[in-house]
Amino acid sequence: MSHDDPTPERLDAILDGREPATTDREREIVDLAAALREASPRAGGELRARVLALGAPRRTGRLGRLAAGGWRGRALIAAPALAAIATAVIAVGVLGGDGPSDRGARSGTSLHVTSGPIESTGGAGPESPGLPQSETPVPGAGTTAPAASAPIAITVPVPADAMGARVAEARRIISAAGGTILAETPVETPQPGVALAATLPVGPAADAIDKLAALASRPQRLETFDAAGEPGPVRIEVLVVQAP
Amino acid sequence: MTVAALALRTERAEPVRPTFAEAAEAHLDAVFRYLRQLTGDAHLAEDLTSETFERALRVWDRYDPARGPVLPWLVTIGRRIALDHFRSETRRRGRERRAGAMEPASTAAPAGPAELPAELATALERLTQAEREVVALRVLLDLDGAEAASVLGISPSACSTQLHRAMTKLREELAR
Repeated sequence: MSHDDPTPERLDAILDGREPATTDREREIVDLAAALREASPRAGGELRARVLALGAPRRTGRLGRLAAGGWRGRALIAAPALAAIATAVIAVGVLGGDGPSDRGARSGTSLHVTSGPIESTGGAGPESPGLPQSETPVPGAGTTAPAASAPIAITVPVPADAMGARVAEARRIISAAGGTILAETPVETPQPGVALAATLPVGPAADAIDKLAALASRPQRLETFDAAGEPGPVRIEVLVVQAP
Repeated sequence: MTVAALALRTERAEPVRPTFAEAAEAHLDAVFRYLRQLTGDAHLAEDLTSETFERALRVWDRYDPARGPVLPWLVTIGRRIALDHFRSETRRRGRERRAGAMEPASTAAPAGPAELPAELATALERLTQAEREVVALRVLLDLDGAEAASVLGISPSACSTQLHRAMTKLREELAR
């Protein structure tokens, strides 16, 4: 190292652009750095396509933006497991409280899973006019249920003292979105709370779900799923439960 | 770190969390350049870059923009993957040598980037892997001293010394 070589600290400052190169030796190093940068390779097209495809949105459904939009959306579009919990709770209530002969009558006002849009007691949502009832069989109503797809389950953990207010707010959000509440059922597991089964028109569904999600007092890490195939009203199950 | 440098770093912090797609778009070339320089092999660098972003996507939730920009985070992932690769390659070669099934693997340094002018590529080949790495981080990726030191797991002053040694060596090689 000759006496006019820059010190390591000075070299740092020059390369970071905090100080200008003033000697020939320093300018040589700056030129060398520029040559290295200029000759540096770029990623090839195939690699670029492969990597950028990783980040491309994989959820193309109307609820995809919810899942991509932050923890609330991702966290509160619930896993099939939670839907199963809610359904199981209701099933226990139905089976435990009444005989088999009552099941059909009760299922119309309980949480249930169907493969297509639910025709609520108040009729189809505004964006699915004319869907014939025969295409949307309801389990327990004397028809054969096709393979079920889970409704969107939204778990909303809230403080115990806010339970009533949050349930009322959830009802208000669903109604304001033009949705229909099909059933409201108290639950005891996994925490005490209230399960709301409802349908939402397709258009305002995402916003409404976002608002429902925002009722939660803390995030939960849950899975997501693609609701792209939904032809009619969006079925939801809102589980407002006490935060553990 | 001086107060001024600390202030500079604070100003440069990225408070806004990019999406994974934005980060991939913005930093793909940088990660590839780093791994290309580190491995000296374009095909291997492509594979490792791809693996880096796949792993980054899996742990994207863990990236905290308050703790620093995303590029050093990505490069750190890439570096771990590259080092894992080197380690497994070393083990594989050891097994092959012991088995006597194949010719001993070459211990020569990986070839320099073919895209570089020949004299620059030759000069880079004469650097150690650690020197090539610090040049990649500080010069090609423009990471600041603290970020590069963090990726390398060394102190900022050690990083400065290493960079100084590497640039001096490069300049001397090119002057021959």
